[in-house]
Amino acid sequence: MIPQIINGLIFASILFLVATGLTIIFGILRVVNFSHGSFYLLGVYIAYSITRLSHDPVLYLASPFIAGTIVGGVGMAFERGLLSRVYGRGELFELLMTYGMIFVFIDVFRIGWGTMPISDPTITFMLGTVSIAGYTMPLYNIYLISIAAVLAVVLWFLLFKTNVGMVIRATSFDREVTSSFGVNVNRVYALTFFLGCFLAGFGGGLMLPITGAWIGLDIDMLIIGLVVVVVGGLGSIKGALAASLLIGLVRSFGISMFPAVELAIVYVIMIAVLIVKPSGLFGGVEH
Amino acid sequence: MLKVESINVNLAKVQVLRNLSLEVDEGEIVCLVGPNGAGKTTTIRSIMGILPVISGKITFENRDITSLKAHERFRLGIGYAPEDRRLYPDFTVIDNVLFPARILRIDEEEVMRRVFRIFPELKDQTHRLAMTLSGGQQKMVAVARALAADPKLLLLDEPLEGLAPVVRARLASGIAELREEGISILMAESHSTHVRDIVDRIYSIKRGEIVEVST
Repeated sequence: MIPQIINGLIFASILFLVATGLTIIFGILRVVNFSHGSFYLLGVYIAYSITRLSHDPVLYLASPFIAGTIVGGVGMAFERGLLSRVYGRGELFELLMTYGMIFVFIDVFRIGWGTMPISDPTITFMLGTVSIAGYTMPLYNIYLISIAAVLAVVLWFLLFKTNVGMVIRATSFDREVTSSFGVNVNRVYALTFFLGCFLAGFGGGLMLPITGAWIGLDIDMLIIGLVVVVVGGLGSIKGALAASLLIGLVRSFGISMFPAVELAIVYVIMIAVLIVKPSGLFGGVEH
Repeated sequence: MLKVESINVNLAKVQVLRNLSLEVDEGEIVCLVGPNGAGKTTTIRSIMGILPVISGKITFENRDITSLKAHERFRLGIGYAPEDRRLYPDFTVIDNVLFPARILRIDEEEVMRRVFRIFPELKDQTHRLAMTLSGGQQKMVAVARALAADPKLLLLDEPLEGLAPVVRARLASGIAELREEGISILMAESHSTHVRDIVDRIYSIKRGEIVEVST
């Protein structure tokens, strides 16, 4: 059972990062960012390029942070340069803009990193293994789960214990009123997009040694990320955490117990939640 | 202090304000009175910079602010308490009231001293969540929040609407006290009976136009 739990927690950690990015962007901007999976994949590719520079383990461990920061910057530039131009014109424009970016990114990935899958598990060998309850696993797996947990705490602190978080939460509740209290809402939007895309890119960078990257992973991550957001409740970070754990663990146990239907189980959960509680486990938007 | 000159404002391609002009001088309380749908809230929101004006001019302290955004107007000294309070429901009273002060990094203790001087009944409520307050208390918090950044002009959108007579009288006296502090006020109300005792001038608005000015 330990391997399933650890694998489930790894998957849940990444789902949490991706889904939280999606849900924060939705909560503040009311935009479903269909290109979110592409930002995740960009993070994997950038981390891969960083680790080509040197075989220093510190660089390997730092690569998700660097990749996340670069991806966050790209996301912010996308929001300011393109997405902000269609605000107020209706959701269809925002949907088309973020959906169209998926194809732009696919071409970027092809040109930048080719069409063949890439992977680099070097860091997992560098860090070695650890035994838990008689089960030996890469220490990197524990590192990944721990760093995602730390990031979740940092995110909570940022959103609920700092002035920046107060402004973000206020904007998510009422953009108009918040702007009339001196807040430049456009800056909040840009910052939110940076944060959301940072989380996606960071998650991608963390997963490089485990899954690698291929064109198509972007769509996989988008869909599973959307499932988590829907199950957890649109705009709810608590919901993203709960749904990530639920889906991560269910999928992990599903792979070992019912491999033929492991993906179906995830969608059955989503359908069940939508029937019983259409707004998701923690429905509504947290402020 | 505030001069609105012939502004025209559209909402969803429908013209809501037509050549609307009004003035608020220093230390005055001016009220915009009219039935629902007359354009009171649109006027207040346009002055705050939330809605864009198609034509016309808005000047504040002799500065043309027509093209400034809401957050820039706030920083010039215009405070705003919207219709329906619109407090941050899961922020406490103190976090709601101090929100603008924290944006401008104003001394929080001084702000609270000032707020409690005008609305002492909020003293015992500071750590309650805004959503748990009564309607009257929420209106007080909304006005207190607008006060927090030490504004020169306060825009109050229907602050007395829907309140019990006792609470309404209390809030009206609080608003009147603000004038003593040198704050100019432009408020909007559906009925002039609630405000006659405290205002210096009333603009009657109908279908987006000022139809009468009385003192």
